[in-house]
Amino acid sequence: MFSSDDGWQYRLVVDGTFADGARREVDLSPWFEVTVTAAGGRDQELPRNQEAMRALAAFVCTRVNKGRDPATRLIEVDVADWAWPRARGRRLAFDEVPVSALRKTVWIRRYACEALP
Amino acid sequence: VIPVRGLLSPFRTSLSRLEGALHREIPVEPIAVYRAGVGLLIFLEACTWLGHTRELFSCDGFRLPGCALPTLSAAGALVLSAALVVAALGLALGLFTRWANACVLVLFTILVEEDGIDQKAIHSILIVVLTLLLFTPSGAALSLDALRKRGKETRTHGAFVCRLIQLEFAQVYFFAGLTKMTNASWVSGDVLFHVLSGRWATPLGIWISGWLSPLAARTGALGTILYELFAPVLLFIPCVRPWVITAGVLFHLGIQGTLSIGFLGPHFLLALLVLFPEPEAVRSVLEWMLRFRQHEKMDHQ
Repeated sequence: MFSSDDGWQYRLVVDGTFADGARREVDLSPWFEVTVTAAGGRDQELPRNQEAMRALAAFVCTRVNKGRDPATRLIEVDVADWAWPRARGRRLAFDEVPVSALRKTVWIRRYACEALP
Repeated sequence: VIPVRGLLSPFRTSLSRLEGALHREIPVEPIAVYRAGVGLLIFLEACTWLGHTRELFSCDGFRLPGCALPTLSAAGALVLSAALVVAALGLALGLFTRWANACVLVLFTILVEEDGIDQKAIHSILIVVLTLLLFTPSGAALSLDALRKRGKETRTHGAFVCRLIQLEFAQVYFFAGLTKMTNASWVSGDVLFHVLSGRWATPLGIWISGWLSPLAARTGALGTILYELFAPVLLFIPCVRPWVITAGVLFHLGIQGTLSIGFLGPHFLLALLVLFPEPEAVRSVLEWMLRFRQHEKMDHQ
């Protein structure tokens, strides 16, 4: 229990590319409503490995495209972590962190949604 | 032959003492209080799950690959969660205690495995404890079962399973301490700083991380490691046990105040205060509390 901690705050994000050319972050909150920690929902607690990240990408594709007009379908997704060093004495929100302090780790690049059965 | 016998005699004495401690008859009250407390904690936890069963346990929510169990439908997840709430309430109240205990064990294990994402040490500890609790007469006191069978229930039981539950808590402390000890960042106090400013930290934890000096952090970290390494042994030594329990209570109150860790703290506090003191002392305190309540009632009348 709490045997290690690297002092960095992580935020898992899924960025989607849509059939109409739009590219934006996919809001995961409709499927991850339960808040687990001050950092957010259960999506933030996912194990950071290829298997889990690939499963998340597939899940997001299926859920977003369910009953959606083909013209606005999600075509591909990227799964990545933004990380920044925590501040002592206060909780830094993602928006407050200077861009220079952010570090990005890409887990899945351009996962093709249309490859799904 | 005679000198060899002489050499073996202290060993035999220790062995017979250990056997006595493992198998002696102890009052049922401590394990009954523990059962009621664990039942209540699981009941409260399961109630918080009820509104989110679709996301947490059903195929509609995100499932991690590799779950050994078949995925549940939304209705199935709701039914199992509701059944867990009822069974946990039964366990807390001591109604058909052994059946309630078995149902809680099975349902809790299934649901924790189904969730996968939010599995913690707290859950595996509970699964072990619920399994051991099945082999105790935990419904023989402070239960609706005891009220139904008034006078026919046993007042004592063999200590062996209780000792196993104690050992479960002891090994959790020990291995938690061992893991921390082998991490240089824990020993230096860095991890304590990070944890107090991390995503599990409460506002109090965050506030403390703002002014805690490196020396205090290192002292706190070393204190944590030493407690976790030595408490598992010292808790079994009667002359120091009250001090170790007191330190443990303060330790867990501190953790609970600074980190959002659910019912881990209350569970360990319950175990420290009920399972580790002399069982006869726990019974005496309970009897005193019951007498006190009766006096109060009479005074009101």
